[in-house]
Amino acid sequence: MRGGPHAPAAWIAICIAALCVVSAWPPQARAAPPFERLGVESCQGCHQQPSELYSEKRTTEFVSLTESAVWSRDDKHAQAYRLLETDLGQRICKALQIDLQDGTSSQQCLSCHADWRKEAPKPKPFDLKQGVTCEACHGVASNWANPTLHQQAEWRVLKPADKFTKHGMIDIRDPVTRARVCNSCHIGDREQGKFITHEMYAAGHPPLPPIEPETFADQMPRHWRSLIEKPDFEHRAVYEQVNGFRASDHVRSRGVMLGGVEALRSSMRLLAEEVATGKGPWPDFAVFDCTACHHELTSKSWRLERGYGGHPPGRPPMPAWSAVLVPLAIRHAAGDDAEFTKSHAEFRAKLKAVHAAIARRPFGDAQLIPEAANELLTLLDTVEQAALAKPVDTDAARRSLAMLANAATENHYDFDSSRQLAWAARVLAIDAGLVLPEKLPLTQPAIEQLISAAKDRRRIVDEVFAASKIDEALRLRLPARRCDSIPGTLPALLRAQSEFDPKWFRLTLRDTWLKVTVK
Amino acid sequence: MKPAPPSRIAFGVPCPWLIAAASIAFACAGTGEADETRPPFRYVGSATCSAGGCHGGAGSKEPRGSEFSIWTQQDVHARAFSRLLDEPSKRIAQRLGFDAAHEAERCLKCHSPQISSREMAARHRLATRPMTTRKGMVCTEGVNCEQCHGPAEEWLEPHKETTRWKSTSMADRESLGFRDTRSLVTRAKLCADCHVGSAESGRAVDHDLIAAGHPRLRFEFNSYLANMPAHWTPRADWHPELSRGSDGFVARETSTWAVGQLVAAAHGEKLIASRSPIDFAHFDCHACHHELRAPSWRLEFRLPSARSGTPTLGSWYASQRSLLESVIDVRRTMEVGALSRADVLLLMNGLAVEGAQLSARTWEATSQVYLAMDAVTRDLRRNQEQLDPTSRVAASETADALESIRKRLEFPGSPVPLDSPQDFDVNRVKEIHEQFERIRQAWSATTAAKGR
Repeated sequence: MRGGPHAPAAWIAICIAALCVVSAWPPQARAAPPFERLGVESCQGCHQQPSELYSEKRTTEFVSLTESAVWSRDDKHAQAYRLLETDLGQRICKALQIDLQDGTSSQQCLSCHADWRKEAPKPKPFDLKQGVTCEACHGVASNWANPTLHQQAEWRVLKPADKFTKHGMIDIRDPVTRARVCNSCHIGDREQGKFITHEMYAAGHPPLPPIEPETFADQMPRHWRSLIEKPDFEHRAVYEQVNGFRASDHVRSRGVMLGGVEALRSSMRLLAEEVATGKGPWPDFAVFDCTACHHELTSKSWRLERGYGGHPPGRPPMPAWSAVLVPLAIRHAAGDDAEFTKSHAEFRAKLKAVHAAIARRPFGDAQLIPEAANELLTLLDTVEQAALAKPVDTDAARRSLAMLANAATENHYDFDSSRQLAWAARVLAIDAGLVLPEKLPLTQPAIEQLISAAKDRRRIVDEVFAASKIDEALRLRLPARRCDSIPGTLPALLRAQSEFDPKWFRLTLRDTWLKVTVK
Repeated sequence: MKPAPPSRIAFGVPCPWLIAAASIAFACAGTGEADETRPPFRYVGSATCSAGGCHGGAGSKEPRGSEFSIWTQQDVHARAFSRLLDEPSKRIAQRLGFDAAHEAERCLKCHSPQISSREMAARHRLATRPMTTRKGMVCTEGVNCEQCHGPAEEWLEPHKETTRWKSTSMADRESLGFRDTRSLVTRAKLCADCHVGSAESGRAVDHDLIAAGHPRLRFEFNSYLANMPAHWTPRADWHPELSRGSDGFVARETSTWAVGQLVAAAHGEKLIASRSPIDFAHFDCHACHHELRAPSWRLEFRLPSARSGTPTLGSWYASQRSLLESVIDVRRTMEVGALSRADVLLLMNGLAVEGAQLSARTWEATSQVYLAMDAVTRDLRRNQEQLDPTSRVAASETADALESIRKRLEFPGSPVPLDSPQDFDVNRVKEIHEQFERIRQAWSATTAAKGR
């Protein structure tokens, strides 16, 4: 159902935007077959250290040319394969009887840990060991890096959609595409053979945290600059135009909204696919909410107190966190509050239908789940396209932040949902205090001023978050640095999860919001 | 078993076990349930039992003559119905979408099993007035005399003629609807109908009910009987299964335990087979219900054979059957006579080995081994004079170790006995293991063990 009476003009705008956008979206960011992986070495030639030649050509104004160095030195993605060789990795392999050298059994690990996707040729041993490499996110490069097409300044003026369909380069700046690329591992994608089964978790694989792409990107060692941070470069005007750039857009808040929709999309796809294709007596436990079962039994239970949304108790639901940010995009897509109320109700009804299909019997009704999930996916597509068409200005960021704070007071959120809300709230709170200029200042001092204002705002928000103890209670800081061991942070994370008190969070998030609100 | 069990679940029902279970089911047939050719016997209500000169006395020394008074004053079975009117029950009903717990058939089947409709009320001639609810009539007496002793329509009058009743054979009494609760098998089956659940009568505390707040059922016959306020004098020779013992060794608790294991497991098997996929109440609760922790003692103690992430089935009701089977001839024992001293010692030795090897180190499996050893050890200590000196020492050592194990199995200082063993962690597992090892060593040093 594509409900809601829109003004004809808005409809046309949405349709045009949708057309551009749809063609720009790789369905699952998968490169077409003729393109081949070149391997890390081919990128390192240029992206390790800028040579004088590139400085002279002013290429470095567009791209730092240190990306590969940052990645290999600081980024955990470069360690992904090596994790499999650690004690924990070996123990998991042993429990699951996986031989890393073996072609078939190891693919369930290597699909994420070394970008060896289902039905794709196995990367060369050297490339495997590089973990999640450049081409895992940017697309396999045979058609754009060799011959050196992307080194020409003209490459910049190509439409991102063409870069992908004709050459295989993924438009990683597009928030939806990027979320899909991240989610394919960080939530899962069975088409690509990326799926952490319950058996793998039970063998010791650390639980996947919820994913809010802006926060994840923010905590990652950055090998990129936002457009706002770049001085002038050749073909800038055309580049901005073909990439749909708007100076007054808060790209990070936009990323929160669309990332929120994509989180639910990825979860729904995974659930529907597992239900439709699973072979066991019930779908793999991994598509359900871990903590629905994994909690100590206690007579004073907040779960009993909260209730089960009208569904029978004792039937594990899907993870709740993936749906909590969707209303932001719905509100943004809607013209006004009345329209939001209407489309939000429609969303709630469709989500409820999925929950009902899952609760119909323990571990869900295999017929009803895919139907309900597909209905919801269709609605999410519509929301996403409409939300993409509108700029996210400071007012939109403020309104979104207020929505989160109010939503938190009305509901009981579990640990993961609360993390998702808090991560989103932090990004929105930063943007809510920043007014962007109508047109980009391209002089160095003006850029610096803008960056410094953003830094100040970020510091203020971070101080409020730290003082409220939300940071600590929800472990908002991810083990994203090279020196952070994920298994090492698990004891504290899991303790925080079991000690989490939803009531405390309700009060604290609202309190925090009041403190960061800009009058 | 009706539905094909999923291949990933370790089901493994050994054949001799089924035979034993079937023989018990056979032994029970005709003792409790009314036969199909005549209309069911009617209930008359417990008021007919309560006269001061009959079972309603105020005897403080001995239960005889005060059975009704003990039941009504001390036994929680008498409050099974009123339980449904309290706050926790109301909330459970609300979560399940029932109008009211005391009107829901699902609840009444166990909490007030006799009357749950107007039609039934009309059929019975209760001396006590049933309560009228919006949906019909219910018996407010909860689990009353007739629930175990049989509907009294036909045997109420005959049993008042004491001398003649005493000389009436049990088979004749049973033909009137009376039940032989002295038979451990009959008794265990009566308990298990509610306390385990029964597929035939649709009684089951399934996972939905537990998640709504109903306590999980964990029936163990011997300890349940020991904890129930007895309105009878527990005499071993009352039980037909025990009176046939030949060597003078009275294995009352061990036999009770063994019968309980077999009957509960048979009930459990039927319940499991009655639903597909299997209801989650049949899994070890704590296989799933534990906070995720790192490091995790569960990862550390994983069995090499167990598939990771697959919950284990039936660790409460089925954990002891293979041991029982391997140690004693269950079928012979139940049909022919009591457990002998040799049987009990053999069982103890088997348990001692099992305890020390305890492969699935779950709270449930450990607790079941504990309860088994506890029953056996009590019998051994009670019959001390019949033991050789080495076994006497081992039995006393075992009693000490069990006390220490019990403390580690208890739930953390909660006044409400519904919480989970939250600190049943690697340290407790290790400490418990040490105690089981101590028991194993004690028994391996006995003459009986050496002579084998």
